[in-house]
This record gives sequence, structure tokens and C-alpha cells, in this order.
Amino acid sequence: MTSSRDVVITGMGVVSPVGCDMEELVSHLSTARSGIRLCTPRGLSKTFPAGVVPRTFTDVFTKLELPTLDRCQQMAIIAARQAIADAGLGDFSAYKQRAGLYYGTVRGGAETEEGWYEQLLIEHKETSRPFTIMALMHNAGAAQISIRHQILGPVVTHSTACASSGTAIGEALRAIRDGYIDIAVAGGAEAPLTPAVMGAFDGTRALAAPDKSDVGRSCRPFAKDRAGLVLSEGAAFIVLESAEHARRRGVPCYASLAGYGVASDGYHIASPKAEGEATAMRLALEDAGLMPAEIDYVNAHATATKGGDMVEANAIHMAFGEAAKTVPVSSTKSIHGHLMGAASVLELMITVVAITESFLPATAYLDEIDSQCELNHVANSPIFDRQIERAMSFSAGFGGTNVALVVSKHREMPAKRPSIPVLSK
Amino acid sequence: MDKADILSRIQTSLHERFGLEVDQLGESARLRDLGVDSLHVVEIMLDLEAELGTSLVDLSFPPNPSLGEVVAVIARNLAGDA
Repeated sequence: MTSSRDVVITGMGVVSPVGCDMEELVSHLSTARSGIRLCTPRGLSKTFPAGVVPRTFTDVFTKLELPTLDRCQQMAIIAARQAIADAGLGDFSAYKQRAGLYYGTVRGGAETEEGWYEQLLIEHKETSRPFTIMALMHNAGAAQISIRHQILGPVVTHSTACASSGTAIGEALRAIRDGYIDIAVAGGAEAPLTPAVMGAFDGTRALAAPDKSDVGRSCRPFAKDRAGLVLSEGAAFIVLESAEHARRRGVPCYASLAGYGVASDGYHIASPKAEGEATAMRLALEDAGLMPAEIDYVNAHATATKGGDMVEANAIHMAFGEAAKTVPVSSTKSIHGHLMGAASVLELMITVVAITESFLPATAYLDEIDSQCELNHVANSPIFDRQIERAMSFSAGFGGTNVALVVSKHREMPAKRPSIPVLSK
Repeated sequence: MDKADILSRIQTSLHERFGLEVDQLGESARLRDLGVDSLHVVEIMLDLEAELGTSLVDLSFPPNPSLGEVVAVIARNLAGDA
């Protein structure tokens, strides 16, 4: 068993409201173009703004496969496949138990589950179709990826609400560092745009209504006129391996995954606490061996709720001290919404793209900053031609689990960039 | 219902539900070779039970059965010998 502190990201894949591949994602980020649109879940009279992935994936799978694949798992399989291919891999069987899969989701196969409840409660059926449980169980996405790519080591599903894929990535990092595995696929998926999930979130009174002038601007983190969160669907995955392992394979890397901090509030099932959030940030900095002033960008969790954004701004001040006045901060949820189980991984990926493409992604629609969320905001438009050496992505989940991840440019290994045009002013 | 009718119903069900081509679905075709697993078989059996208005009691198939072997088990059930 060998251990290595140096863990790198060698593959990325995404299915999201702002792109179904890395090129499309970077294009959305560089123009701060929103992927939020109107969504009316079947059976509900209310219309919500939502981060919709504007396509179906049933053509990608055979009719023999589809009965076990909820939309959540379809997106998980596709995003993971992209990331694995991007890392120059396909089948992990030769790794035996030294390859792992770390997955995060909040609701798993929600559409399948709701379909079964409809049969149970309305059609009065007492037994489901045979595939139902396989399509609704939370670990189905992880299992499907493991089966398809022969990942035979730990295949573990994290459910820490909106930090789910963050803890998945952090625990994968630790497993590689501690020498238990050589390589991991880590990420998450969510398909929550169903009547029961949307209706239940609406019950929290935390969802934004569609913006009257432009539905695309319904999610406005840190803004004085922010009106609540916007739920989204999608999946994103990264491939992590020790730098030594990547060198042996002769592959370049996007960045190092340099630090992971996890801390829980122990406070309230729904309300966040600045102390818990700040502790996760401090732990991630400590883990990466960095001082706050060395961080060049923070991708915030900020979902655009009244209370949550304020608590997070306070937490950034607590963790960063003086550096909080200068470190650029943005919440890209303004264009992609809240992907729940896939939020952490998507936002980490965006943080990596900020490093590889040398730009600061923006909080869109931030015309008037809430004075209670004072930070060095990257407001409305991205800032190009900015060298970013080290950056942090932060996520907080209902229930109080907070995760901070730190990424940094790798100085010795060949650098990799998403296959995209160069960004400029 | 004779074995040919049962085979025909299974072929239709495999085609409509799972997109398998009927000309692949001869009596000698083995389920594993078709990509059909035990859950797919349960789905087909549910279709058959609904169509026939009966309950198939004994569905103990041999390992990796052929369609012909599946038909034989169902015919035995329908004959009340299961």
C-alpha cells in the first residue's frame, strides 16, 4: 500500500443545464448565459424556473436497459462515461479492488419512485413492475457505472444533501492519499424536476418564482432582490488519481485536488450555521497547506435564499479574515441553478475550469449586492485573463454537512485543458 | 393454448417491451445471449399472466434457459402440472 498526498484530476464529464459536454459548459460560463427555463412538473398547475437539461437520453440506451434506468442514472452513466474517456480509460477491471467509484445523490430515481406511488395509490396496484426498485434505489447510479466500467473496489454512495458529491470527492481523495486505491471516479447525479420533489421543495417556501422579465434570471445569489433557489437536474464526474499513477500512465492533468475539509453544524435540519461552514473552509485550507490569502477564487454555494447567502458570506469572512475583502467570489448557480447531489461536483469542475482557462466565472444577475453579503463579488460578467493558481469550491447541505474542496494548478505535470477555444476579453 | 401460441406471445412481448427482433427469438435462442435477465423474464411473465388471467405458480427455469425451455415451463403451469 503506497500513499501519496499529490492527487490530480485527469478526466471530467458533464450533463447539465449549461452544457452536455465540457465545451458547452465553458461557453456558458464565459458568457454567463443562463440554462434556467420554465418547467411545469406533470400534474402540477404551478410553473417553476428550473435548470432543465433540454434533451432526453432514451435513444442512448437499449430497451432492455431502460427499465432499470431512471433519468438520474441515465445522466450519471453519460457524464461518468465522458469523464472516464477523457482520462483515457474505459475498463477498470485490471485495477481489481484498487479503483473506486464515489457517488452523490439526494433523491436517486425520484421519477420512478413517483410513478410507482401513482400505481399504488391511484391505480391500487399492490405489486410494482419488477424493475422499479433497481431504478429508484439511491445507489443505482453508482452501481450502473461500476458495472459498465468494471470498477471493482469501493463503490459508495454519499447522501449528505447538497454536499453529497462534495463528500464523495473528498472521501475519494482520502482513499487515494491513504493508499487504499490508485484511481477513483467521483461525482453525482440528480433528476429532481418531478412533481413530488418540486412540490416538496416548494413546501419549504425556499424556491424562487419565475422572474417576470426573463425566466433565465430567476436565480440571483447575493443580490438584494434574490428570491430563492432554483432546482436543477444533471450529472457530473471527475477522475482522480495519484500524480504518480497519472505520470506512470503518461497522462496530463487539469489540476491537483489539494484540500478537503468537512465539518457539520450540529445545529438545525434546515438552517445553516456560519461556524460550521467556516470550519470546513479552514480545514480544507489546512489540508492543502495554504493560507487564506493564497486562494485566488472561491466558488460559493450561495443558492439565492435570503438566509443562506448571508450566513455563507459571514462564513467566508470568518474563515478568510482580511483576505475575504479581496478574494474574488461568485456563485455560478445564477446560471445553472442547484443540482443538489451533482451541485458540488459541477461547481468544483467550474472552479477547475477557472484555473485552466484563466478567468473568474461570474455571479450573473447581481445588479445590486445585498449589503449583508459584502464580499469581492465577480458580478454579472466573468473577468478574463486572470491567472488563478489556487481556488476553493464550497458546498453546504440541509442537515448541516459542509464541504470545502481546494484545487490548484499542478506545477510539474503536463497541463490539460478542456478541448475548447481559448477565452479572451 | 399450445406451445406455439405461448412462444408467439413471448416473442411479441419481448419485441414490444424490449425491442428485440422476432427473428432472433427462436425456440433455441438462449436468454443470456439475447441480453435478457431474470427481471426481464418476470416482466414478460407478468404480461402473460395479465393476458391469460391466470397466475403462473412454478417459474423454476433451468440456468440460462432457451426460449423453448421457458415455453415448456409455462405450458406445464397452464396444464396444472406445476
